[in-house]
Amino acid sequence: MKFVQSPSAPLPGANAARMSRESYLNHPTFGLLYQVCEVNANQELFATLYAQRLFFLVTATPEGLQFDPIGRSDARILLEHRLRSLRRSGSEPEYTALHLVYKQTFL
Amino acid sequence: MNISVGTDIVHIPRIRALIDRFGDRFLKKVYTAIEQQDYWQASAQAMANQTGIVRLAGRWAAKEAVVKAMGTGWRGIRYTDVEIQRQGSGAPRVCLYGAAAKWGAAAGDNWQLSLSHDGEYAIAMVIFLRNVAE
Repeated sequence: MKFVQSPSAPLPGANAARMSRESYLNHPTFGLLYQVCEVNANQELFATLYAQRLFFLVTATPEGLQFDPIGRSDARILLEHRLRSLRRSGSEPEYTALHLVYKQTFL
Repeated sequence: MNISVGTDIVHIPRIRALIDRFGDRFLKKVYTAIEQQDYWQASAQAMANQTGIVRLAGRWAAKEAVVKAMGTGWRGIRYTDVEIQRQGSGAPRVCLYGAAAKWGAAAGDNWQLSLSHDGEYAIAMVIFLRNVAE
């Protein structure tokens, strides 16, 4: 089920250094989500804080934040893709931080 | 008067894992200053921190149960807008702030809350007596 949360707001992690901060969002039904990683300029991957079992692709739209649920395996692929991208770009501190998130979330 | 019910169950080791992983940041995001203080006091008195973690788990369950009884979901409501206080008798009490308080004021702020725990689980049961315009 797809949710759009208004009013319009930028994604909490947008344009921010991610190594030293965490971003959270409230899903209307599932409560507190934490940011797993950035996907692209307008999308970030979030997971439910409590059990880290439900994953959402959150998109900033003119209408507000749109929550699209995705499966655990798809979420893992997105995070692995982001890790590869960071490794290729040589962003070592960000890669290390995200790899820790990967281990804590999926292993 | 309408009666709304909310309930939630929490696996206590999950709360411990969140404390281990997110630490203070988790506490501040989810729990009010009063709830945090109660946790630190309980942790200081108890062996291995267990009483404090159980209280956090019960309060997480209670916050979820309150929002279920409200029927609003978490839209516009923060976890710290729902505070679970401990009265002198030990009985828990719901106290609302922010957007939740506005909602509560309009609907009639009349809550009954019961918490329990055993082993690895904590549970909360909430009843909300809602005013209905005559």
